[in-house]
Formats: sequence, C-alpha cells, structure tokens
Amino acid sequence: MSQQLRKVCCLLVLYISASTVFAEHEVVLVTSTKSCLKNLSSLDIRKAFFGVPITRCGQRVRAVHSNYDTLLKKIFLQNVVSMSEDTYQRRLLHFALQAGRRLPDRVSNLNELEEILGKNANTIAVIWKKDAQDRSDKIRVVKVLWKHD
Amino acid sequence: MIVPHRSWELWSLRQWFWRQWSSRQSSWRHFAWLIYLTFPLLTFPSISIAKDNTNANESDDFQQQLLFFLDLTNRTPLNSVSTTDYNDQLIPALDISYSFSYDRFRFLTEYVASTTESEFERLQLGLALGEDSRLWFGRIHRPSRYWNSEYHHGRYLQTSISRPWIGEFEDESGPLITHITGLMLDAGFNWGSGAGMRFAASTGLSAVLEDELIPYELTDSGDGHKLGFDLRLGYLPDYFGQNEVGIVASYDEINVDLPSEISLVTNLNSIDQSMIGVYANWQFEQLTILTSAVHVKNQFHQTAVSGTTENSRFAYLQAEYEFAPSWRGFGRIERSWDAQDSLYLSLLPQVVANRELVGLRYDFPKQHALTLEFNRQKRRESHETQLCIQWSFVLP
Repeated sequence: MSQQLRKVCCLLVLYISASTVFAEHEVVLVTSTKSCLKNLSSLDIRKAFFGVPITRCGQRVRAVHSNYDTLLKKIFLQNVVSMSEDTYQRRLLHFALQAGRRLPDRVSNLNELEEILGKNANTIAVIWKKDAQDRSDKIRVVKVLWKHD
Repeated sequence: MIVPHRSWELWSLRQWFWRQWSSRQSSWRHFAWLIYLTFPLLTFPSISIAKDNTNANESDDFQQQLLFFLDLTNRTPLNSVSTTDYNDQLIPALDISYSFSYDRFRFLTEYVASTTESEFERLQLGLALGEDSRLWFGRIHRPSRYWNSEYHHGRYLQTSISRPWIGEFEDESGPLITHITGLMLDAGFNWGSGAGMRFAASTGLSAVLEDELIPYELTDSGDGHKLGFDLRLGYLPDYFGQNEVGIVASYDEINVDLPSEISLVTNLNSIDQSMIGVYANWQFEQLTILTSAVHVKNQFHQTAVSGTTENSRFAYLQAEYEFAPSWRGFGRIERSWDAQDSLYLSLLPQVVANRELVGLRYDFPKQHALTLEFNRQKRRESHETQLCIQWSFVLP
C-alpha cells in the first residue's frame, strides 16, 4: 500500500513538474479576467495586431505588444503576424498613414501589461503561459497560440 | 517677416496667416512655423510619445495616433547641369500624420514642412462602413497613384530617396495629379483564407495647369478646378502583407491657365487626361520587386481646334535586395515612350524622360535609416547625375 502510495505521489510530482516545464514553453493569448472574450479566430487576432478595429462583446478589441522577452517576440512574429519584425513595423506604419489606424501599444514588463489589461477589458496580448498562470487572478488565457513540440 | 498692416482686421489677419502658411517660397520660416505648432502637440499629455506609445487612458471608442516622419536630404550634382533650385543643400523635412477615430468617425491629416514647402497634404474626414472600409471626404491622395498610396509623404517607408517621376507630387513637377479634393471610398475584402482585395475609388476637384499642376488647396482654392475620377483594384495574397498586384485608372478634366506668352502659342483651354495602368509589389525572400506601367492619353481643347490627342507611356521597375540584416541594396530603371515630343509634358517645368539609379540603405534602431543613392536622369535635352544622401526616421 505504502509502495503504491509512493508511486502515485511520484507520478503526481512528475506530472506537476512536467506541466510546469511545458507551460513555460507555451505561448498564449490573454485578456483581463473581466473581459467576456471567449475565443478569437487566427484572422481576428491578426486583425487586432494590425490595428483593424474589430468589435467583440460590444467593445473594441485592442492589441498590446509584449516587449519583455526576445524569444516570445520571435514566436509572436512567426506564429501570429507571420512576418519579419522589419516588415511588420513597416506595415503598421503604412496602415497608420493610409487609414489612420492606431499602432498597438507596447509594454516592457508584466506589471505594465497587467495594468493595461485591467483598464481596458477587451485588450489582448501574447505572453508565456507560465506568466499568465502566475497572474491568474487578473489575467485569463483565451487561447493557446504556440506549443513547444 | 512682414507683419500685417491692419492686424485688427481678423479677416485680413486670417488671410495673411494662410498666405504665410501655404507660401511656396524657399525659406527656413516654414520649418520654424512647424516647430511652433508641434511643440504644444508634443506636450499635450494624451498624445505624448514619451510613454512608449502607451495610451491606456483612452476610452474604447476614442483612439488617436500621432506620427512624425523626419528626414535630412542632400543632393549633390556630379555634372555641371543642374535643373533644380535645391541641389547641394541640406534639406530637412518633417511629415506629421495625426489621426483619431471616435465610434464610426475618422479624421486623418498629413502636414509636410521643409525649407522648400509647408502645407496640408491631406486633410480628410471619414466614416467607417465596415471593419476595414471607409468613406473619406476632404483633400486626399489619389488611390490610382500606387507609390503615393503606399508611402504617402513618409520618406522613411520608401527604400529609395527619389520617387519615380510618375509618382512625383505636383509641386515636384510630377506629370500626374496626385491630390484630389472630394470623396474617396476605400474598401478591403478579406476572404478568410488570408488573401484579400482592396478597392478604392475617388472623385473630386483635381488640378489646374499653370506653370505646374496646381491641385485644389484647402487654404487657397483658386479657380477653374474641374472634376477628376480614379480607381484602383488590388489583389493581396496576404491581406496584411505588402505583396500586391493591381490595376489603376483615372480621368481628369484639366483646366489650362498658362502664362500669357505660352498661352498665345498653344491656345490651350483644357486637357482631358485619361490614364490606365498596372502595378505590382512582390517580395521573394530577400528580393522585392516594385513596378508600375501606365498609359496616358491627353486630348487637347484649343481655342480654334478641338480634339487633338497624344499618347505617352511610362514605366519603372525597382528591385531591392536585403543582402544582410538591416542592409539593402536597390536599383531602379524608369523609362518613357513618346514623352520627348509631348505637348503636355512640354508645359511642365521639368521632365524626367529616363532615369537609372542604384543605392544602399542601412536601417538601425529605432526606426532610423541612412540611404545613399546615385542616380542619372535624362531631362528634356540634358543628362543630370546626382549623388544623394538621406537620414530618415520615424517617431514614435
């Protein structure tokens, strides 16, 4: 019995540590816990990050760039906007000049992000899952965008 | 600076102000004006650029955006022929773009100031018709001029220093009208697969041909501006990407108000100008190709005779190659056909019949670029060779 209990405990510890490790290697789309956003299609997420004014739950969805981690930024560019950083920045400037679209806000740390998400309910951002889990009282995961295989 | 003699008369003061504002004379005064005007904007807290572009306090419906495109350009003639007034001068230029949206309403303006000019290039009010479709009213850039629609006055965005001659603005002796004051429908259709189409059409008051094409100015409208129409239809394999192919067309009735000595010779009253063309902007890995070809037909209406026509064709092809991160080499070739004998082009102050250029651009953080360009152009009867250098950047 005690052996079985030890096995279960070991498996439980392994499971918890494994999920923590994998959570570190997952990139998620987050919003505020106050937001009613349920799910957004890949196209809607792209639209938001290119400044197209989309409305969900009766409110405009606003995108915020998380600039606090280089690897996260690379994954965002590859998997969300599918462009190099230079091309993406030029397209944003083009849309701002052409149609008056607003450039997405940028945050350089998680506290800033938490503050912005708290102020505007329909604001979305791309961060590591682990960082979202650490702030689960204020930040809610909308969608997993990337997983390390 | 001359101060208005009867400054208590508000109307006169307003006229004096606008004359100063929109004057085309070369002077540093334009730049000083702009600094006076932008300083309060920069210090205005809700559009401050000091907080890394974070405007968290804006309401959900009200959003605004302020951009500054700055550049310093020097053009050194390498042969004795110099046909422009600003060669071998360091010319600073500032392009301010401000926009706001509230609910379905949009406002967008672009103001350009340099030591050679100072004016509102665009001032438009818009109504959102869908997620990515708008109806604009005001002074706009014509959608049928692809280069202008892509880069507007933001020189940082274009890789080369010079624009193709068919994309030049009216006050830079461009042969096609680039501004129109009226209505524009700008609509985007996203097919869900990632691809999409853009459609834009505009109509409004176009330009009068004097010593150059003079578009309708909001501050000094002038007389004789007739209607123009244009449209553009583009296919985008990635709706948000830069790759695009499309067709453009325009039609203008251009009133002619030439200086009397030329007017006596030509007897021209007006010109009906129609244009049709194609364009492509395509990126293949590190290589980008940007090209356009247009056919222009001018029908002249003279005092005694009517209906004389002439045709000209213009094309350019620009290739850009990113051979190392942040380093880009580029080259462009511009050609014209039946341009040398064109009556219409002979009425413009400058003609660039053919041009070849090569250059190198280096991008460095944050959003700065240094560009070197060597170009050789055939004007009416002479060749001109220039070495240009430019530092351009954008804030925030």
